[in-house]
Amino acid sequence: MAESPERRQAERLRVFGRARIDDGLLAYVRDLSEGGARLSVITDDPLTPGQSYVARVCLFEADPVELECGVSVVWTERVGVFYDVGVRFEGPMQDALVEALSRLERTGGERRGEEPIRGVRVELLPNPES
Amino acid sequence: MSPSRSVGTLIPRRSEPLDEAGGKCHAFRRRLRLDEPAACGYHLPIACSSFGGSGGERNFGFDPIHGGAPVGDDLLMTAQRTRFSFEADVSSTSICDCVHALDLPLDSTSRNLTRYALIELLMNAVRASAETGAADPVIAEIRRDREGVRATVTDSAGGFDLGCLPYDFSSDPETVDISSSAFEAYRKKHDNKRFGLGLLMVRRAVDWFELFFVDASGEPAPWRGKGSVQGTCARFSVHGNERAS
Repeated sequence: MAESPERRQAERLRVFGRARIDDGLLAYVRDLSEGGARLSVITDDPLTPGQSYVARVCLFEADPVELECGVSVVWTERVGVFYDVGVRFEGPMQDALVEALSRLERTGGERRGEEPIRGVRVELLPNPES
Repeated sequence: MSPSRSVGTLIPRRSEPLDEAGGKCHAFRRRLRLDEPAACGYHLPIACSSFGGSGGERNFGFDPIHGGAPVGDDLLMTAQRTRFSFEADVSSTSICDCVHALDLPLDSTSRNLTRYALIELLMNAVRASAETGAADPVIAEIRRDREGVRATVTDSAGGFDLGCLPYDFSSDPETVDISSSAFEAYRKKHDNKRFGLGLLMVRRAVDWFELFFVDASGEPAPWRGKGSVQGTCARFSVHGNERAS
């Protein structure tokens, strides 16, 4: 299977969050950008590209971010137990989303240039049987 | 060559934008700043082929285009075993970045599910550590072998009551009805900030999973209520054909 298609040109921030779609389907929020998001939807049926929904999103940061927005499905692809979905935000950018992106930009390691990712140490080890 | 470990921090470094597939996409390079000399050729069989010397900073291999899609922000961290220590105040964005920095020798679907499982378990552990004020960091060890990937996530957050989940944890995860009233009540109780689905979906996503509690010496210990265990250990494995996609 090929890597999932991505349509968004804006930089995407990897995030961890939950979403409810139309008060029914549950999903994980995988990334977020100004234009849209990637969701992993817990469903056996694919969402239809072009279809619009209301998504209630909760991102888990030190200060959780909650927002509700209209989204339209751009692409969908089966990924194991999920359907991964690329969605485009509909309507004007909400202040909560702008604020969330700004905050994630500040906390995200990639955006801090040469600073080490805070709060993480990494060790590289051989396998025991090596 | 000595199998000594290498310890360091990940340093993100933004690269120049790439003009790919008709549009601009940013790619990122990460470096591992090593605190100790590295026996590179031993435990970094691929990435270290271009390394030299010992200690200091190392630029990892960089693959801006992979399979026709821009994945330039994937660090080719090809160590056989990688161990992360996460403090309780680490951001979820940083956790996601670290997990995506791993080069997982799996097909696309298995790789995505492995990342999901790791992030889910790490977020659970980090959140529990923050809530309980756990003194020790969350430890994640990811091991690559011919079979695929095995991972262990351990925290010192005091464990939790499996009976508080909105389903019977001992049941077959495939048979659990996530639209049941128990899940709805759980979501309502937690103001839709928790779905009660994390462990269940991890179990559905991976090939093998186990969860147990540990005592202060890291040995398995039974849950007998608050204060009876030191923390939680979750293990899973995912099999998949390397680069099959």
